[in-house]
Amino acid sequence: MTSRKRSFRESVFINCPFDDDYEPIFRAIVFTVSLCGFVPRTTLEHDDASQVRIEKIYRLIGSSALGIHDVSRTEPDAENQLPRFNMPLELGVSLGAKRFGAGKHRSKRCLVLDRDRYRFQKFISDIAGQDIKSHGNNPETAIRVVRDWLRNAVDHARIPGGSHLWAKYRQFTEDLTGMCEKGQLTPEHLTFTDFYQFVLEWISPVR
Amino acid sequence: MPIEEIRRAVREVKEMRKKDPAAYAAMVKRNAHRKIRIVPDRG
Repeated sequence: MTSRKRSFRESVFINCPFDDDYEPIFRAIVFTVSLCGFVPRTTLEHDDASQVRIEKIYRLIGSSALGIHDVSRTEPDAENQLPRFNMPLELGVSLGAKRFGAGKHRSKRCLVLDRDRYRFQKFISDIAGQDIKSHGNNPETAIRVVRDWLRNAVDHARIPGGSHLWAKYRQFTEDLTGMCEKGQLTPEHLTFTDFYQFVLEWISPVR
Repeated sequence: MPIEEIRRAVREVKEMRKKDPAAYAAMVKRNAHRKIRIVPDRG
């Protein structure tokens, strides 16, 4: 079975919006993290359904040395006219774990993403000094930013260049709906594990 | 979905892209309207 051990050092917690507009960037980040040899961890992954959500988030953050936190979704939602605070909350939990945690938690690294480079100063200025990058709502930029951050965060020999990653991702995206068709899966309801397994199999050498 | 099925689907699409570009192009065109949406794992 294609799988990767979820070791602390290689786990990357992805804290981001799960909406249609963000979907292309989320897929690009999961693909990049995987192709660079790391394990993407998200609240979409299978878990005990009875588990309280914040406990699941604590567990994911506690078991990940690396974290990617996207704080770009600041607009009020259409239904309630209120912004979503979950992403800043989970970023805060990660920063708290690094600051007050013991042992391995002190080595945690965080990448903060927003759509524009200095926009965070207007709504979450206290995070100045963190590693903050912009993706411009563009999957290609997201791939390059995440790739460069992983390259600097750890000394990892398997990390390819940004252009190579983007070309691979474009090909994977073109193949994906066909792979869903072959596997009799509905692309509009692709579970995270099925998507991740497609990524892992696709990037694996031909068997 | 069983990993064997995932593996088979990936292998078939990759082979089609290399060995039968016309069929591959038709498949891509046929699915062009599909929108990928990743949902939480069930269970």
